[in-house]
Amino acid sequence: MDPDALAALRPRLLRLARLQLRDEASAEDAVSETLLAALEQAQSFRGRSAVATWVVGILKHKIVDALRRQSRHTSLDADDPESPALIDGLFRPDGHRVAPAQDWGDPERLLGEAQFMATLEACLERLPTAQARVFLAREWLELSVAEVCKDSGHSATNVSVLLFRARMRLRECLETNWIAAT
Amino acid sequence: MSGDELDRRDLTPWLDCRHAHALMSQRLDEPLGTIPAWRLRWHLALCESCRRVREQLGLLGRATRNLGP
Repeated sequence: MDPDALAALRPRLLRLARLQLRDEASAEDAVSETLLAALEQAQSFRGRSAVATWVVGILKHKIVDALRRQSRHTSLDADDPESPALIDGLFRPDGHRVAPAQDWGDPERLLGEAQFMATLEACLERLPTAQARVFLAREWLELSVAEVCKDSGHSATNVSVLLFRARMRLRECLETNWIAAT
Repeated sequence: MSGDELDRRDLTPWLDCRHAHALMSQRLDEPLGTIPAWRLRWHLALCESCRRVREQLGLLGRATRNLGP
């Protein structure tokens, strides 16, 4: 394994770690641990996947460990106070949407489109901390709701509310910044 | 009686979009009960906007899982 090739992955890994952990020091630690583990385990890398994909897999494990440490040492993040009003604003008092959802076109094509993925990342960065941590733990780290509750310290009801708010905000953010712009 | 009202409300197939959005999010994390699942199906059959949201919420999850190098 070429140490320089690994070091070149550092900025990308840091960005991903920051997205999930929302804390510079924890993100730095998780990335340093990941690069070291990759060097140590280089023999076990069989080239079934690209090196970068393999390293991101290691990073995800280090991030799960970091999340568990975070929840032990820090108090629970309160959700941002503006989200309920923002979601209220999407619906009329009778429960219908103010504006119908737009047609985004073929999902398969969107998944392969770099611009769409870049906008998604920008929208994820803008999510309030509590929503981002829970949403990414569920959808990026692919933890179950029970695991997210355990690792974050939130109740199942809170996790469900945070996931709902995160999904609504992300959908609006993408519709505004990507769909409307293309 | 308020208890009767509650029962009747639970048995109506009608669901508004806001409630449908919440159930569509919930369904990505855990299986819905029989009645909520049925009411959601009913709503989706009638509401094109919510059918789009269903696709889009699924896409958000898949796209997020693809975040990598």
